[in-house]
This record gives sequence, structure tokens and C-alpha cells, in this order.
Amino acid sequence: MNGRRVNRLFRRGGWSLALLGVGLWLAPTRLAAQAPASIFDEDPATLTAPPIPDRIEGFNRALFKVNDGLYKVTLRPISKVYGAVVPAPVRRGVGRFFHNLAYPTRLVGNLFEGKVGAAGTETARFVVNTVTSLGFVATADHFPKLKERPSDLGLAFGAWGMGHGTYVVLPLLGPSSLRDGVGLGLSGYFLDPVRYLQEWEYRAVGTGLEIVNASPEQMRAYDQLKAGSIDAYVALRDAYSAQRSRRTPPAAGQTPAASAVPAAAASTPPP
Amino acid sequence: MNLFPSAFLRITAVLFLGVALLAPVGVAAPAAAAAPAADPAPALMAVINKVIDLVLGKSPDAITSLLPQVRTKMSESFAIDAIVQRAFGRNWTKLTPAQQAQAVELLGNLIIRTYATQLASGSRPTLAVTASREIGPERREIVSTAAQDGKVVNVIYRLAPIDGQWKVYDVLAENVSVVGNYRQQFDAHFVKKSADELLALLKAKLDAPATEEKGKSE
Repeated sequence: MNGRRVNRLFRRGGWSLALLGVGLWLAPTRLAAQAPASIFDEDPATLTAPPIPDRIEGFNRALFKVNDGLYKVTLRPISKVYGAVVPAPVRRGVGRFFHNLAYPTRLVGNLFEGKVGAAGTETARFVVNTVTSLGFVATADHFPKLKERPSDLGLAFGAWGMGHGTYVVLPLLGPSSLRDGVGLGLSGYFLDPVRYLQEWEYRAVGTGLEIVNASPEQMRAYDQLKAGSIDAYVALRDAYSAQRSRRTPPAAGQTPAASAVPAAAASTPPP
Repeated sequence: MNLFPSAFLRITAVLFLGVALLAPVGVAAPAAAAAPAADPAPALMAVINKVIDLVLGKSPDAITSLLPQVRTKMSESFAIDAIVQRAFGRNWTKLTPAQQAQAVELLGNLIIRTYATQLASGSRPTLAVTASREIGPERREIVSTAAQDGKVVNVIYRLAPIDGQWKVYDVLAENVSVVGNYRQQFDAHFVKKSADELLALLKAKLDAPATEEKGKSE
């Protein structure tokens, strides 16, 4: 065995030992990473979406109380009468009509997000629902390829990298954020077809009917939320954060807390 | 324009629909055991359907009297003690063992009553499993939908091997985690208030009517 061969063998042996050493060093780390964590000490960040910062909590809580009082004296009695007079299937049909009518908001939201395919799907849904039933029946739901692709201006702003700013409780409207509130205002002003009715009486009736029609279900859900939570304000704020987090695309290099939610479960059919 | 932002109704409606499905078992912290091999989805759906059988169409008073039965049935697939402890998170250690036992009892009852009341107020929900998969070492999730009165709610159950079988330790309804949502509330509570005040609050909630407005709007 000449010196060069011995040298080569040692060099190979050295590399092998080094690789073995690295392997042994990494093994416990890898094993530890594979071991299941206790369900009691999981990272809380994986439990819930990053909350929308609540920079004006005192003001928001005050408005939450005002809204609660207003619901009690206005919307709840109205919803009770309306719910007793109008059967649930009719209310659902009217709700679907208004949901279908909100198509421009979903269209523009998807386009602003750069989701041209989703915008096309929303257009197809609108056409199918309108042609078959004026929107009173969600006929498009029967076509798997026409699964709803919800969007709005707040989500579009989020896709552009805009943050929520702060959590905001809107008068009467309830949970929102600065960003989403601006989006809501803009879409209400420019994209709501009801606003383009010529006579103010028609606009008032259209808006009023939409609000009253949804009120029985909304009041029931609101009451259940209050009955089941120890701090309804925080419960609603967290739920709103989670909902909007699911729908807001993550910024570059950011992993959403809700990444475990599969795409199939991330879309909600219309009410 | 809608009175509420579009997410509002879904948020509130689903928060306790998905929450649902939590049942108190006992107070002792569950011990993790070897993961059972079988897919837990069929057993879980069977348990939920049995619970629906128990409460569907019942009045709030009747549901309250049925709570022990509902708990027993749900304990087959849900680990409420784990859910409650996780909901308290870091605040769990601020409770004495006696307070912890009380918390499991009270919060479990509150969750079950809220869920059962919602179930009882509508038509029978139709459940469907869309996926059942492993999400990590000894962790599974079952993705499902619950259709009720024209609405479809996406519900995800997270399971771990507890006491030798797969049990639910968290539920996400429309991406809202039951554990996470209560943890936010408890974190806010413990900033200024004590465990005794929290337990008193939970008890007051349970003593109050299940909903502010009695009766159905249907």
C-alpha cells in the first residue's frame, strides 16, 4: 500500500467519521422534533390567529355597549315580529337575493386581489343565480366548479400589504377594523346596486329590507354569543380576527396562523 | 348594505355551533397514550349524531335537564378537561385544584348548553366529513361540514390520543378556535380579576337563561 492510498483511505475515513458525528449530533434533535408535544403546552400562537391590534379598546368597548342597547330597543323587537311573520325559507331566499346583489363587491375585491379566475367564477355564479331565480335560489351551489370565492375591498387592501390599523367597533354595524371599515364604506358607496336606485324611498326600502330580513338570525346568533361567553366583546373581536385572518392572504414571508385550515374548508358558501 | 359586516353573522352563528361539540369528561388531566390506529372520524360523527338525537327540538329547560346525558355521550370522543385546561392556558396555574375542578364543570356545562340550544332551535344539521388526516406526531384533524337551515359551517376537529383513544382537544368553526377564543377571554379577565370572580361569572352565566330572548324566532 503506497503512501497516496493510505492518505486517501484516511481522508475517506475522516469524512465518514465526520458525517457519522454530524448524524449522531442531529439525531436527538430530529427525534425531539418528531416527538408529540403535550397538548397542554402547545404554542398559543398556533391556536388562534394573530389578533387585530385594539388600540382604542376603551372607546370600542363603550360603542359595543351602545350597540348592545340599540339592538335591545330597536332591532330585537323588529326581528321578533319579522321572524314571526315571514317564514324562514322566505327569509333565506330574500337573504340570497341581497347576497347575489352584492356581486360587484366580490368581483372588484377579487380583481383588486389579482384573482382573475375567482372574479370569473363570481361572475358565472351571478349569471347562473340571476337567470335561474333572480338570485333568490343559490342555483350555482349545485355546480362544484362554481364554488363561491368571497372577497371584498378590505381583503383586497390586505392583499396589497395593508395592515388592519386597529380593531374598530362601528356604530350599529359591529366588529370591523380601520382597513375593513374603509373598504366597507367604499363598497357601500360605489358598489352597492341599491345605492344607484333613483328614488331615495326605494333606496331606504332596499337597505331596510336587507337589514330587517337578516335580523332574526343575527339577533339569535348575537344572543347565543353573549350567553356563551364571559366577555362577549373579546369573544367577538377574536372571532372577527380569526375570520379575517383566514381570508386575508399572508404577506410575503409570513405564515398565517390558520395555515392548517385547508383550502377546501377556507371557503364559505353564501348564507 | 348589510347591518353587520358580512362576517358577523357567520362568526356568531358558528362560534358555538362548532364549539359544539365539546363534552366534559372528568377533572383529571388526561394522559397521552399510544395512538390508536383506526380513523376516528366515523366514531366522532356517530357521537355527534347521537347528541343531535338527544337535543333536537327540545326546549332550553329540557336541554338543561339533559346535560348529564349529553356529557356522558360526548365524553366518548371529546376531552373537555383538556379543552378547558387549554382554554385557560398559562392562567391554569392560577387556579387551585378545587377551582380547576369547578372550572371544568362550569365551562363544560356552559359550552354544551350553548351548543345544544342552538342545535335545538333549527332543523337537523347534516354532517359530512371531507378529510381525516394526520397533522403531526400523534395529532389528527377531521375536516367536516355541518349544514343547517341553508347554512354550511366548516368545522375542524383536532384530536390526540388521550386515555388510549382519539379524543378531540380543540374545535375550529370557520377558523375560530374554541380554545383560542376562550383563552383570549380568560387572558383579558386575569389582567384585572381573579379566579374566584371568573368562576362566579361562569356560574352566573349558567344560572341565566340560555339566550337573552326565550323562544324561537323561526
